[in-house]
Amino acid sequence: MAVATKKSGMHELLTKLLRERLKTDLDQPTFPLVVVNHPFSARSIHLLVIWDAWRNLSNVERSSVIMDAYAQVHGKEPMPAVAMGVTASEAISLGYLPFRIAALARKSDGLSRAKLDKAMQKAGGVQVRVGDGLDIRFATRAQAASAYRKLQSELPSPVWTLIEERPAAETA
Amino acid sequence: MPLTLTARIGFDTLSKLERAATRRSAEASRLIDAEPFGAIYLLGYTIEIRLKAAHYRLAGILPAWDINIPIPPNPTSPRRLAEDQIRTIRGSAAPRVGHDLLGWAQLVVVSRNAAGLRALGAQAEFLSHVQNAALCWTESLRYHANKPYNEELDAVAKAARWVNRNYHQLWS
Repeated sequence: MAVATKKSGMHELLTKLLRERLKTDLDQPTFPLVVVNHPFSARSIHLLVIWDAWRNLSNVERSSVIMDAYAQVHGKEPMPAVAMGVTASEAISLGYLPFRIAALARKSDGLSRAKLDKAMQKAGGVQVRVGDGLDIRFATRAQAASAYRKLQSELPSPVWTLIEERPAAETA
Repeated sequence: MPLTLTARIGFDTLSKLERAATRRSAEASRLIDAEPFGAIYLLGYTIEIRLKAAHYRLAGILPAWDINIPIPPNPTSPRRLAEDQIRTIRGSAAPRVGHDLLGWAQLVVVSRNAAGLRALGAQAEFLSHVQNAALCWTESLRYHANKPYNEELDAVAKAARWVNRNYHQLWS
């Protein structure tokens, strides 16, 4: 019984947080990262929400939170055909973060790693430690472009590089 | 001179996919205790093949039709058409679409809608199982030797069991 109450409270909290996020600009790379896709028709809605808050929820519970939050913002018609929630590390494994920004700095640029990291931490997206520095990753080009503009504004420099990763060639 | 095995298997059809899914599932069940990594490899293929077969059922492909040959007047083969649709669904995040479990699962959802069928009653459960399997499975497992955790084997085995048991509901 206590478990059910806890789950219900978590469901409500996450629904509320996600509802507020859905009212904002989804091209901004702030968490949770939300991707809305309309494959084949405007009434066909596929929603993906990348959020570490999903960690203790089953996939079905995640989907239920997304559906509830979506309905509270956009009404019940049409409802998303697909509503998936994944954590940041799951998103990386499943190939949902194909855009990344890296800082390709040389010594002559005069920018310390710490300074670059600080700017990247402010820019949003999923932070991935690579060697002694950071990469930040995004689900959509618009989210990545928005972060890129923030970085250029925070630390104007030619070191910022936006990369779209393509999957390796098909195997058998 | 008798035909070689590769010549005897002939072209790919919907009915062969359905029979192959049954065989891969039976082979996997024999490997579960002794070779769990190999079992996961085959269970993932079982899911992939069932999803593909369900989509071709929904698309109205005849059971004996070669899925690599266009059906006139369509200039594109059913396989190519399906893979293009998955690229549309997944956008730039599309991994190798031929083996993209989540992409094929979403295509089944889209194809049900296109065929005028109601959404699956257990759609969240369906996508949840495929999502769990997709976190543990890629076709390139075959190039590796590793030891899976019991939870990983369980997740893929449960997903394969669910998809096998509910296969007819996916397309009817």
